[in-house]
Amino acid sequence: MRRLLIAGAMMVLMIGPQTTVKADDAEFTPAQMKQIRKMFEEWYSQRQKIEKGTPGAPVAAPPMAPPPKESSAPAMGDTSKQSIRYGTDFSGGSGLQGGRTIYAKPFVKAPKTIIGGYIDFSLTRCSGGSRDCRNRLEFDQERFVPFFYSQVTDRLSVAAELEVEHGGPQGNKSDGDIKMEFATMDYRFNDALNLRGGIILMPMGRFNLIHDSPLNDLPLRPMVSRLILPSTFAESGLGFYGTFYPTQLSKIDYELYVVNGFQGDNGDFSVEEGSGLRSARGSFQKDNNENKAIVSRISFSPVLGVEVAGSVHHGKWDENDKHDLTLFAIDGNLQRGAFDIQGEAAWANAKGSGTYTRRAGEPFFTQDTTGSTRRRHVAQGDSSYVVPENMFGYYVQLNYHFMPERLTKTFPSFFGRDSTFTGILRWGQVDTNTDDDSNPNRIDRLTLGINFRPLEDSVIKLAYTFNRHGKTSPTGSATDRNGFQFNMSTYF
Amino acid sequence: MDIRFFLCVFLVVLTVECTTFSGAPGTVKAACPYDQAWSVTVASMDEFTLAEVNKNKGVIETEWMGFTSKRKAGLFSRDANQERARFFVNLTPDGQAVRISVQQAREFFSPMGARSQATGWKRIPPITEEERRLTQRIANQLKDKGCTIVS
Repeated sequence: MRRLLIAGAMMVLMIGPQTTVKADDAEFTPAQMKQIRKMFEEWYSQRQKIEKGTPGAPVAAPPMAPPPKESSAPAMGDTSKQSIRYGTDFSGGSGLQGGRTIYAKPFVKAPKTIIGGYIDFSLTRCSGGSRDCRNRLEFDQERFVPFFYSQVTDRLSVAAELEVEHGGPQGNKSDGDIKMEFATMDYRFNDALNLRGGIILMPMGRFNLIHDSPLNDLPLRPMVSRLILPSTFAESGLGFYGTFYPTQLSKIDYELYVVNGFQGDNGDFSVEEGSGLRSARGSFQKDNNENKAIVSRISFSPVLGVEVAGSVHHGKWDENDKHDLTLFAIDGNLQRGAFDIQGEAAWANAKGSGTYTRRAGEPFFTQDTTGSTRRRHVAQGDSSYVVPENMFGYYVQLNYHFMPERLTKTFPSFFGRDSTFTGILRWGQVDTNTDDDSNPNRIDRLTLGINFRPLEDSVIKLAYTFNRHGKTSPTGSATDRNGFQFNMSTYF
Repeated sequence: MDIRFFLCVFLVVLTVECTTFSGAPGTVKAACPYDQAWSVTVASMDEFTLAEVNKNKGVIETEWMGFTSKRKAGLFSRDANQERARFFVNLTPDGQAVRISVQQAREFFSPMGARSQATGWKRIPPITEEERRLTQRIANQLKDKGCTIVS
């Protein structure tokens, strides 16, 4: 009997709320309303008995008041109160009712955190070796990048990418890295004003802001985004970003941050002819001077599919707080139909240029011939290096997206609704010392490529690059270092 | 070829494209007084939260509506991406009639990696079917209130 009572109570508890959860005045017939009223009266009288100490039958859950009608249409209203809803597939521990006390921690229970990442694997060969392209045919597990995004509250969000390069520092040959690509905390006031602090992706040019490999249509990054806007380019700092809508069709985005800035003195870091500004990226922890750098980007989109932007980064690069380093970049993007054209140009101007001496025992960083791996060294003896005054680089890229209908019909399991092919043509140039005609570090690169995206966020890429290093001049001659690249990358 | 020339060509192309781009909003032309068309149009927007209602300018602007994007995120096809949309309804006197145009602005946000940074929301094409449905709804209400739909 007792078991039957418990089972009955459980049935009422289970059925009660479900019968009322979709309740709406308009959906009940008079007979149903009468029944609900009767149920409520029964429940109320039982409750009265309990409150008076009268033992009674097991108490059923109260019929819930009909909730406000919920439309299946999107909720309307102020987006500052917009609730961010994610799928139920990764709702953390919210479903672990049995372990409620153990899992009752916000970071597990709240289904607000996305944990994902991307993986990036490549195979390259360029005769003689070129920037990001190996001399030998080599496989490279370039990046494994877990990331986290959490909408803590409607106004507060946290995002981070943790990069494991080339298998990490504990790989078989200890020739990889682990580092934060970015780690930010945002506080949202409204669309036009948001506060951001942390390790911030520098809004210099377009590519750095969308540098994840699955977003790049070619295996290699543009050279200007490696040497002058040294992607992944992030710095510790604080600032604001936001969006304005001047007209119904146009949009202005801005970002403005104060950051530690470059560290280009002749200690650990350097602004150099060979590696451009890559080795001068600052510490996330310290600054080499009292000066703080300012970085900003403003982009204007007059209509959908068109965007032009300008960015600037200005600060002192040396430990004596004397010499300015200014970067200026413009970029644009145009999408129309199956075509998409994008480009970026960057200029760097360093005051205090000239030949510097690195003393024996001083640490410094270099990169391998491909520029992909950064290494710390200690100078064995005195040596000199050139800090160039001016650097310049740019790229222009044309993409054509297509999907032959015959393939989707013949092989639907390989070529789905979201699959696309993209043909790519990119022309780029970089010169890390434009004032020196004999500079061997000028590189011209023409890339022809094709990629296949089985899904929007997964891509298989193949490209061939024609690389010309140096300039033919009375003091030197250019060399060709052509080769191919293959890459697979996906968000997960 | 000078590099600056290359850049100039690129910017000129962008500028030309800017001027040639045009939206394709849903449009309805109703033969009735402006005041009547205005009040009927405002009434037909009752399911939206309105951000701006300016009779003199003939502009009705809704607040952003947020929802989960149908574009799945990553290899696991998660429902992590977000979209938001809002409508602009413009009323313009056109002779004895009033021209009413409906336009949707739509944006996309992905929490995946670097895409969560920058300013977050990226513009994407509007869903013309949604524009058409709102236009049709306004047209039906105008008709019910005695306006003649010219086109």
